[in-house]
Amino acid sequence: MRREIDVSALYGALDSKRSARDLSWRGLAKEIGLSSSVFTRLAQGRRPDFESYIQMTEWLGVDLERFIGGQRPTETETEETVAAISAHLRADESLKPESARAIEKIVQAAYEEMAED
Amino acid sequence: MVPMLSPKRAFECEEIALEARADIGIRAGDLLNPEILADHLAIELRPLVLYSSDLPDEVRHLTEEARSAFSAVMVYRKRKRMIVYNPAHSPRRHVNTIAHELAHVLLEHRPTKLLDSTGSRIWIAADEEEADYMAGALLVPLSAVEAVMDRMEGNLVDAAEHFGVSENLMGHRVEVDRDSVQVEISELDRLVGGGRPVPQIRSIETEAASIAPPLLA
Repeated sequence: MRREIDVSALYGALDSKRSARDLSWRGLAKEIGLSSSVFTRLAQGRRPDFESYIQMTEWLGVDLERFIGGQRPTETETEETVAAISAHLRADESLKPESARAIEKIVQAAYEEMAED
Repeated sequence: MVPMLSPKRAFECEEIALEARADIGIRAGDLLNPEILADHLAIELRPLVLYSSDLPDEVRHLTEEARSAFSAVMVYRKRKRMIVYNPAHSPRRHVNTIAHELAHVLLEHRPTKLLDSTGSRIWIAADEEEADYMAGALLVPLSAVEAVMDRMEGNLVDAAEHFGVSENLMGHRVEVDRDSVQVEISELDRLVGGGRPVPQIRSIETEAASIAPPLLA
């Protein structure tokens, strides 16, 4: 079995401790001495480089092995309907209903394509 | 009227913008290609036309009849994001659109539902205002405005060309109330200097030859 960093679990652990301490991701980045973009990349499912990983586990106070494991079966997730999908939309403030419907369709399609890891 | 943010928040945006620029190895006076920043952040950019075969009517509507109404949408699935943009816009509007969406990421704005129950778009004015300012700061850092304008002999068109942005945006950046924001700009060296390359505006003259042409022009 291939061993690799469980990005999802790592992100979750960082996010919990960060929220509990009322830190922004940028604040956490400064505290650990990493660039904020490391956490954005992590959110996107990219594995951190080893140096960053060491610093993250140190900050979490867990041992290095903590997030290293074999590939697990991905959690089953209920797909959200478009009414529940969240987004940042850049469009006219007064969208015509037809345009709003078209954007909804696109958003739903994009959401369905985004693979979970 | 520019900026409408508090000077403290505007300064923070300038600071975050310089950090993002340092991350991708460019300085305050360089042209920023937001597609490169998106790639660095591992955020995929998709042109609307990728959905043409599945949703032909919707894509046609948004790229033709309603082409000016829709710029882009950043879709979230749990912690992941992806940006779908309208490819039917001018390169400079495109640059601004992508910078605006990335600004939401850099500012750690929480996403909202797309539409309310009446089908109207949900609009958080404070976040949008911040993202607008942040997009400007990313593309045209305040700390470089004066040096570039000097070098372009005060010509707004040339300065806009230099940064690959619209003249309208360049004009806004020139009008930012420097007395309120730039006082703190001099603090940037100290604040973002800790061990990482510090964006310097004095490099503009010497770096001129290496400034890339606008990728999207």
